[in-house]
Amino acid sequence: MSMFQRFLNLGSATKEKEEPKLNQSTVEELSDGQPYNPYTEILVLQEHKDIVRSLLKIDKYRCVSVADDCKAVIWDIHIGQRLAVLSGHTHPITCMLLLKPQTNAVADWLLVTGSSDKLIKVWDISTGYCHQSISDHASSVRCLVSLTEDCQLFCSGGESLAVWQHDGRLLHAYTRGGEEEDISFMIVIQNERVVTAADKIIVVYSVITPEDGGEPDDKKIRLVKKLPPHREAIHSLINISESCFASGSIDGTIILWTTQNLIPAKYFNTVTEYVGDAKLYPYSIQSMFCAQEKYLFATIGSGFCVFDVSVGQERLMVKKLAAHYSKILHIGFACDGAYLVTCSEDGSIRLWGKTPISDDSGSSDRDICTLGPMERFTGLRGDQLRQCCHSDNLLEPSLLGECTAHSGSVQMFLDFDHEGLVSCGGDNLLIVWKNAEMQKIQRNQKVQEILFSRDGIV
Amino acid sequence: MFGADYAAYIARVDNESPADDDSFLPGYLLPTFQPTHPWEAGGKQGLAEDFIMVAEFCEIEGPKPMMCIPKDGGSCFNQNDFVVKIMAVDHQASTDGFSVTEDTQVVISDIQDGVCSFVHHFVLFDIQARGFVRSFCFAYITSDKRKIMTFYEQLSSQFKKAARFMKYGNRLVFIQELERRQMDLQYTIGQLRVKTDVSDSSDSPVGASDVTSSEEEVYQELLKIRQVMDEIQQILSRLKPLMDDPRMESYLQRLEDKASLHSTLQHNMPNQETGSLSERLIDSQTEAQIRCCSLSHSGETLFSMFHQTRPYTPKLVELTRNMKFDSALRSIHELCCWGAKEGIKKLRQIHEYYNRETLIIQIDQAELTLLEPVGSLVTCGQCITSNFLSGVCLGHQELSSLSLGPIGAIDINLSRLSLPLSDRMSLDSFKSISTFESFEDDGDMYSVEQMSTSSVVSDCCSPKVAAYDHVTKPTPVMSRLNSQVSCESDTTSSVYQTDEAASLSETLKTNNKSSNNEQGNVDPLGNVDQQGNVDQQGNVDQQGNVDSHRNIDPYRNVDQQGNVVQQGNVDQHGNVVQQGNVDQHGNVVQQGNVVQQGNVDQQGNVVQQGNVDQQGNVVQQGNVDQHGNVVQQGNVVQQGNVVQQGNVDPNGNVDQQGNIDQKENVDQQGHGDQQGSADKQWNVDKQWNVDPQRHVDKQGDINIQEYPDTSVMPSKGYQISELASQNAQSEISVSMENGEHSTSYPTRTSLLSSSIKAAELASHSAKSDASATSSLPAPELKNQVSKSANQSAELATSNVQESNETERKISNDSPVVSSNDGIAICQHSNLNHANFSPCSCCSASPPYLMSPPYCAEMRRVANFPSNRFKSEPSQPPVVEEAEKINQNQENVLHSSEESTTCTSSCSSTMPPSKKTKNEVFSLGDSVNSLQPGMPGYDILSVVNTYHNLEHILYSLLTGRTVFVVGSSSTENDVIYVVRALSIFLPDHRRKHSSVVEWLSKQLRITDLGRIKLAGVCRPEKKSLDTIIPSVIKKYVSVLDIERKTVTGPVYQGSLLNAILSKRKAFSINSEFIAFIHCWLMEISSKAFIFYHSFCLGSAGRIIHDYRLHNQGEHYRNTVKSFMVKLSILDSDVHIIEYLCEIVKMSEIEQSGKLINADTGVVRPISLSHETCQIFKG
Repeated sequence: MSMFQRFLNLGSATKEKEEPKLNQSTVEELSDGQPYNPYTEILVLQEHKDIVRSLLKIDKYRCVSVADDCKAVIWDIHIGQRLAVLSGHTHPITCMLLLKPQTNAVADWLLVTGSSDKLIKVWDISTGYCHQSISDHASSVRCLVSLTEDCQLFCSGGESLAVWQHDGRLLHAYTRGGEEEDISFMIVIQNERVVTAADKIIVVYSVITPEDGGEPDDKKIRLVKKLPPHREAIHSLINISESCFASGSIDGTIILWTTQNLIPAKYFNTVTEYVGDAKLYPYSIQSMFCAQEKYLFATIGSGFCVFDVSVGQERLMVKKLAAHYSKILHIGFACDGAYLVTCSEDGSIRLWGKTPISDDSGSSDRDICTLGPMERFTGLRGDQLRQCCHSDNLLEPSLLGECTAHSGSVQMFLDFDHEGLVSCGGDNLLIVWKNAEMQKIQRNQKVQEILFSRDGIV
Repeated sequence: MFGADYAAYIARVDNESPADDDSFLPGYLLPTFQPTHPWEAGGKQGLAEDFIMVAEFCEIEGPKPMMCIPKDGGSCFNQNDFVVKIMAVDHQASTDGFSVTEDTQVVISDIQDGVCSFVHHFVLFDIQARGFVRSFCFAYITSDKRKIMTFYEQLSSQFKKAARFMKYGNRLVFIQELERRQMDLQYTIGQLRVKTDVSDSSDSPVGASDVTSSEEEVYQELLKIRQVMDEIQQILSRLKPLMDDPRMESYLQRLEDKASLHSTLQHNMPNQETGSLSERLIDSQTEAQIRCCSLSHSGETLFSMFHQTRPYTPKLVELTRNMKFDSALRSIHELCCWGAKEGIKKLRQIHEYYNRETLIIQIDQAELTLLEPVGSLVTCGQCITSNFLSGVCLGHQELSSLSLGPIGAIDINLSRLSLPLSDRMSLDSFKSISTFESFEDDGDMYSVEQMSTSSVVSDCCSPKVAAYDHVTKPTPVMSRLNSQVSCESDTTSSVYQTDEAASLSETLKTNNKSSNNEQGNVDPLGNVDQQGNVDQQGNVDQQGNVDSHRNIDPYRNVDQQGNVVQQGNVDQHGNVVQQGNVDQHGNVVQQGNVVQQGNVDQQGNVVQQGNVDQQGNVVQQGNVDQHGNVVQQGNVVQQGNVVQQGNVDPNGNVDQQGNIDQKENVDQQGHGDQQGSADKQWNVDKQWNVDPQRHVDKQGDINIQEYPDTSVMPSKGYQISELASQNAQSEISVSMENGEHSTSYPTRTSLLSSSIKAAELASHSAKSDASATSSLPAPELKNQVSKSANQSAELATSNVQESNETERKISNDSPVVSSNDGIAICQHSNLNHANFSPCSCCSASPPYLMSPPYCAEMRRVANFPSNRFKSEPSQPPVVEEAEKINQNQENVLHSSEESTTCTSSCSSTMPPSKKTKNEVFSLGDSVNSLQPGMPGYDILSVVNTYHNLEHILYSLLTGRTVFVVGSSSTENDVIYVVRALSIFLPDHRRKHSSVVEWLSKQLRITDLGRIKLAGVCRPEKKSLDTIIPSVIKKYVSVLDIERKTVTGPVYQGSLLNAILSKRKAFSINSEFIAFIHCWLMEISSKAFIFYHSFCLGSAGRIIHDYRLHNQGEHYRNTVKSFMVKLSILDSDVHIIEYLCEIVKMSEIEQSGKLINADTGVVRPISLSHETCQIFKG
């Protein structure tokens, strides 16, 4: 390493040291009455006894939450009702997957849960009844993914990789090298290929129908390719479009891969000195999502960035490095793009977007339905947005609101559009964030329903 | 009769000096105990406490008291003397042979003792007694005559029930005894036969004369036996058909089963609770018997009516035995077995329930109607505030279809649909006492229900009775207040009527005629008329016409307010209404009496009498008062004319009297708006335009339909013109919103607010017209007035004063009630039938009508809390005591009202099915039995100690959690503050954990949903954040009692300031609580309008915008603009909204409960992001 390089590193190192402080000081705060925060009413859902790790949306009113207390709970977030508690696992549930009901339309969706106790269980969502407990998975289950649209097949990952029939029949288990880390993320890309991420390594497998006969629905897993590794562990792996997917690691690197040739198309945000103090990885990519197959939102440490990933115009659009006091754990849109929601280890959920213009004429209502989420988020029309993309200006989303009620880190949230937002956190709670006015209207409707359906008051 | 003599003698002796006793009284006749000059101690003020006496006309001793409920009840009362009075009634019909005597009920008042009693005479059968009958009576003895009159119907039916238990049990026992006697006789015959056979066969050498004589003897004996058997047969044939109540039988049987189970299990007879019977059974003999029974496993005891494991072994009957008077007669328990136990239990319940102030019972009964539907109940500080759906009928389809049908059908159906609960009003009220189980246990609900219908009438009439009572006999504080206030309106009306009569110098008859004529004018409304009352709960659609009538009613029969005319409304349109008119014009007061007794026939008489006597006087004196009150110029003649003409143009009046005029306009506008048919309405108003003017102060009563009143801010309310404009405004707005569906506003809520204003107006006018009042002598009252420190109290008293005087005038002249020893009315009733129909006309009257007058009263009371204590000249001891106690911050009436506290404590033991009742107090109870630990206790000192409390109250009333913070050394202070503030907490029920008095562990966000008010310990040497995390701190308001700071959102409004601004005017907590509740009712009445016209209207469900934020803003704006119409501004909007949200949520929860009971629904926590401010001071 040359002197010059050393000097640079030193510089960056000092920068690093300063930056946390800088972050602290520059994190925005809301002092007024949060007039733009639509979430003014909460339902606090209590059932879990340990950190609630993740959520899964079932339909418009239901979601599943899983926590470290080895239970999954199904909630009606409309009224805050606990519908079912799925208990049976002896270790924390690590992953969930919804399976469409097969043929007979009467049945509700099935929920597949994988756990570190090496079991895969299949539950009836409406009753909470455990249909099946599959113990064929020899190792702890880390992730589940549905291989096909109709949920005929699904894959489970962990120490090994397995493909299953929807009825729980093991079709094939692929044993990976013992020295490798467990698979922690999986996505499915075209041609029934499964991209797996284990620590810093991405490997692509393919599920094929074996040529050497056997039963017609028999499947086999075959290794396709090992991709060049990240520098550090991968914490996010998402699909972007038919032709590309992205992976992000805690070193702050995002790599776009083409699905066709499985080669890296673009590197974003390469930070040389990424480890940070006490190995905190201040630039780690914890969560990513993609809007309109074009805009990639990624959390970078306690901030977030938006990249335009359309081929040929890859560029940074939004950069907000000090969005929270602590690492952002999840990012996503709410209300179809009206708000960009970030939830963080600091216990708060923040809403970002464009300060609404209060007196929009009624005519725009119709237009707004046709807007894409990104347009709504930026408050720009399609053409304006395109223009903006061509220019080098960075967009500056403003802080619209801060939802604080969790007393621990907020692990994840789900968007239920106008019904609200569900967040889960380290305080063992689920909180449904709702708009008070919307709720009032709904209660009005509900009460009217109750009262006028009766014959008089009895 | 020895007993009678003895009792009379005792009475005489005690009037003399006891020292003389020994001089002429033989030692053996001296009473074994020396009564402690009881009736001297009680003085002329009557009894300390009501009690129920069971007395017997003993065939040996004469009338004698048997037992009292409570045990020490009436200890300061000459019971012997009184028994002679009440039992000196020969109510047994003298017929040949055996007959079943019907019970009688009598109201007897004793001026000298200052008591009034309701006496129920009944007869029990005793095979050992002379003529097989023994006459008994229950007497409810109270010094408050008004109570008896007010609750005549209820008492009547309750006593009937108690008697029914006894009589049924008695008959069962009696029949059993008769049957055994018959067996005995059979056996005796058999024995005689054997004897004669034996003598025939074995004893031939005996002389013929002997044989014939012994044969003759036997023959005579046989004849006698035959005779007796025939007699018994006859009795049985009469009695058996009467034993037709299988439910009662099975109920008694169940009791016996339970008791025998107990006895076999525990070697002891029924536990403590079984009360009366166990008392009797404790004696050693029976105990031994029981023990032996239990050992032998035969369930038979002395008291078994149903189980007879061992067959009866007949005995020889000695027929020649003469009646002996030396053996003690059997006790009532022996006579009635389980019936006596139940009957006495029932009596205890009756006592427990009615041994409260009349007003409290009335409030209680009125408020208990609000308990259902449960979902829409609004409570503040564990106290019923209002119910958004009580008495509201939303099933508009059915109603509208019904409205096309014949009127009678509508009336009946409406009454069912619209207020099903009040059918069971009295029943519910009883349920509030846990021990009133037997109401349900025997399952004989319908009789109670029927009773309640009649009780409504009597309740309505109560004020009038009070008017009489008042002078002749001092009444307890509360009831007097009630009577005064209500009398105010009574007298005005009667004056008005009689004035009319006087100016025309017409007789009563012509007066009647004129009233008929008047009605003739209104003819087109004749039908509508009758609906009027029904509709006040009914829906808007129908009301079009009806409402208009509602407005007519009140001024014609101002006092009646739901009284006679309403009574008529249900079925008997023609007759009763007519009757109502006639009566009411002349003698309002009398009528009250009569109706209460529910005896139609006698009514007529009494009424007539009253008319003749009273009119002249009342008119003359009444005028002064009334006009003093209402019309400040005292423009008597003009008004009188107007009334008579009826058709006089409203404008004429308008010119003459500015004030009143405006009022009138308001009314007319109101009607026009409310009802589609404005034209018709207008006519009506013109015809009757006098009334609004006349009864300016009674606005509340008149404008029962006029919810717009609620929109008026009472603080401004003194100016009539302002009232008028606001009325009109809000009315319009509401009716606009109403277009969609039929909504109606129950009388109560609207009444509440309107009566506030009425009262305010009244007090205002009273003050301004002081000359009128001062012209009449009332020295004590004046003193009281001068004493009263604050203005409002002053106003109130002066107002009361006025009414007091009018009242006094009337009652001086009243011939009816002041009868000295009079048996007021005897009512025969047939108790043998399962359903007691109290009386035909009463049972026909709609039950729901009671609410308007009640509420008016209640509100007035609430509005003039100071009256209760300060303007009571007639009860100096109580007042003194009251003031003493007040200084100790105790409740005034507490001492005399132990029973109420008992009630509330009892209610905590109630079964879960009565949950809601258990969870809340009625206002009467809470004010009456205020004690440490109850919400609002010590509120005055809290309010005066801490400033800026309106922000805290605002938080409480908008669902924002409030923490009262203090260090651990101030724990008691914190708890005091928490308890005091909890009076404001909406949706707060007992056993709900929304109030936590002392918290010292860290709070979580989940607590916010549950806890709405809590005392929080500030940890030493640590910041408060360790208890209240920053996350939570954002969403709570904090009252720091050490630093005296308030942190919370700023309150900008007027409703709460109106409450707090008056705090200096009160010196007694219970007064202030009543005042607060009055305001909370006011607020909730506004919420009521909002709820019905907005939340249940179409405006409440519009989703304006796709964007969540804009949607919220739109909604807020809509709400705001709506609230402006109700003249609710700024922060008050949130209060109103929150109250509605509570109701909505609890309704949704209720309906959810019906579907699936187990899964809990989470209540949302509102996170207002309002910026908080810190207020110091």
